Amino acid sequence: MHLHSYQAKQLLRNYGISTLRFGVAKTLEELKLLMRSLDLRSVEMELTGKDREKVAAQTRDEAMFLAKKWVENEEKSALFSLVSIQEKMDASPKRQLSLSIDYEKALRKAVFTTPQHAYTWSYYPSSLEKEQIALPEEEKMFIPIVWQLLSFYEEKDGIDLQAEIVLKKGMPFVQDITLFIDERALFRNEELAVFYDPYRYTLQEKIAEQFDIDYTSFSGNIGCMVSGRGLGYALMDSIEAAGGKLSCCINVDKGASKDLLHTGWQVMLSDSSMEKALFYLITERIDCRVLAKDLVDMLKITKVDLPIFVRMEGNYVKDGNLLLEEAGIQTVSSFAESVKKVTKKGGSSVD
Amino acid sequence: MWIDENTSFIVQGLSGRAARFYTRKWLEQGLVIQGGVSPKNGGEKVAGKPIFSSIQEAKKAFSIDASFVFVPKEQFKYAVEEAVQEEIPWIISFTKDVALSDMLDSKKALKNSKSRMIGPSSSGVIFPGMFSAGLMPTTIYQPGSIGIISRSASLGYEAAFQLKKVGLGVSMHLCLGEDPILGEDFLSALPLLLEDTRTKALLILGEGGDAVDLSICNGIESMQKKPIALYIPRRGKLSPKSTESKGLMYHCYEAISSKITERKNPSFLYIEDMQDIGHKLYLLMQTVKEKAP
Repeated sequence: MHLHSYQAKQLLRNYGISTLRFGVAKTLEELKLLMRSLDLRSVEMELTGKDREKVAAQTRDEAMFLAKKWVENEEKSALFSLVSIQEKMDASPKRQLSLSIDYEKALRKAVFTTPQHAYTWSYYPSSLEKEQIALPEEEKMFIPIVWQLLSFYEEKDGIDLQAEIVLKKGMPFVQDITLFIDERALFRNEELAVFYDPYRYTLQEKIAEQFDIDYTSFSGNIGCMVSGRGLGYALMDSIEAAGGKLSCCINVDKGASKDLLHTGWQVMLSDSSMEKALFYLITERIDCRVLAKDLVDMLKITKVDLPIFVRMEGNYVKDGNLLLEEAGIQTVSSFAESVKKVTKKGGSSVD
Repeated sequence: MWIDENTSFIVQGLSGRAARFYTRKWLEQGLVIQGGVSPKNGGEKVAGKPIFSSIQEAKKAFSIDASFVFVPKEQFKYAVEEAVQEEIPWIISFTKDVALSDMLDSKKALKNSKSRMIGPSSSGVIFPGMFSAGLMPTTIYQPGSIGIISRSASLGYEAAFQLKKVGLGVSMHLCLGEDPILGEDFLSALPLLLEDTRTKALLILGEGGDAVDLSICNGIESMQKKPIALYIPRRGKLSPKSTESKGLMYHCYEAISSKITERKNPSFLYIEDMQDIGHKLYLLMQTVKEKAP
């Protein structure tokens, strides 16, 4: 999950890490009050809605002007608008702390960069000691904030953290931060779920998220439901090589249950660019006869006028295919045939 | 030691639905399942097999060579740590979406230990015609001499199906798992197939070119013993939801394909399109037959 910079700063502040003065406003009135209450004159603003923009303003009036212009544009498209501001620092040498995962070595990696040098540490989670953060004398004042950021990153299950650190009156402060946290670890960081920003996702992505469906959207017209991520990737490759393009791909490898099929299909249908659909399901736990019956019931309810192709493999596949064919649904018997059928010009499902 | 039909298994997380389903299936197929482990369900039975509170307790009753891990992701690292502590030689983990820091912890536990782990997010291993220690749909496979090693289980199924269609069979399908950090990667697991006497050629199936796929490059020199075919789907790098937006970068695809084509090794077959797997492997096996004494 990619957090907004202001969300990450809120987390840092709650964690006791010094940040430059910042605040968030949802309206222009709030922005005006915020600049006064924080006693900010020149500011750096991050304007957030469907799009994002970072701008600097030398005066409060300039800040209000820029924010007003942006908010008005956003409101025209009825989008959420938000302005985060923070005090503007004069140009001074910055330090950069980068915390990430070295996937090849399966270690965490920390890099502290000064204007002159980069210091790197590789370590297993929770195994780096503060004493191991060896920095030269002139950089030692940064050790406490580096250590705090390392602990924060660890506790919040960070995947990638990029922090810009500046000196203000001789003390280190975080000026800017980019933070990705591990969604897989939200079970132990439930408080982070509130930072999920629905405005970053499409309707389909939101539904998929809600029902824990692996969904990816593309710009084509072929909707795919597959029983495995790798299979989905391979189909995307082959369909594209044959001149087709996916509109979306839904992965139901957690089990092609009736509910999951139905929800996945609703997500696919909500995408108006879909003109053809391919179900490519290889299952072990679910009998193909059951799967076929679920598909027939589902397609009867939704009654869509689209070419639909189904490829199943597993136990009782012949019986399952027969059920589908009796219901007038086209079955395909191989990967190559699936690609050929969905990329056929004109979109007809009839040979 | 590798998995064979005499391997003695225990199922960690046997109280769960999927674990019960597959345990019954494995027992029907004759796999040696000694029982399960579930701290809260110790003393109960599943399919006539005892559930123990810990592996330590199970080890007092049986000798255990391998563990199937079915626990939820929240308990994953503790289950692995327990298996490592009890020196279980092979851990096969089916748990999906493990937190990355938990996987890093598990890698730490596995390092310099007596245990090796397949997964997480693996579907295990199948030796068609012999036995299955995995979740694979057995009907897809035809016994034969091609060893499949894949990240994604589903891609392996598709390959096995295509091979069957051209009259070829599979000696072993080992599924490493789809997660970005795994116990065994291609480099470390390939010897299992290279040393398998039934396996005459290998089919490697990657997953969009991440760091695990990159391990293929590091091992190319050691893969000369048997003809190898390789397919890596490209689209992984274009999947915003599952890759870039979560901070995971799938950027190695180009590096892998260029490194492999640079080698210009005639026994190394790079397959561009998944739909050609059956046909290309058929041709590869013809050359193997021709070279055979």
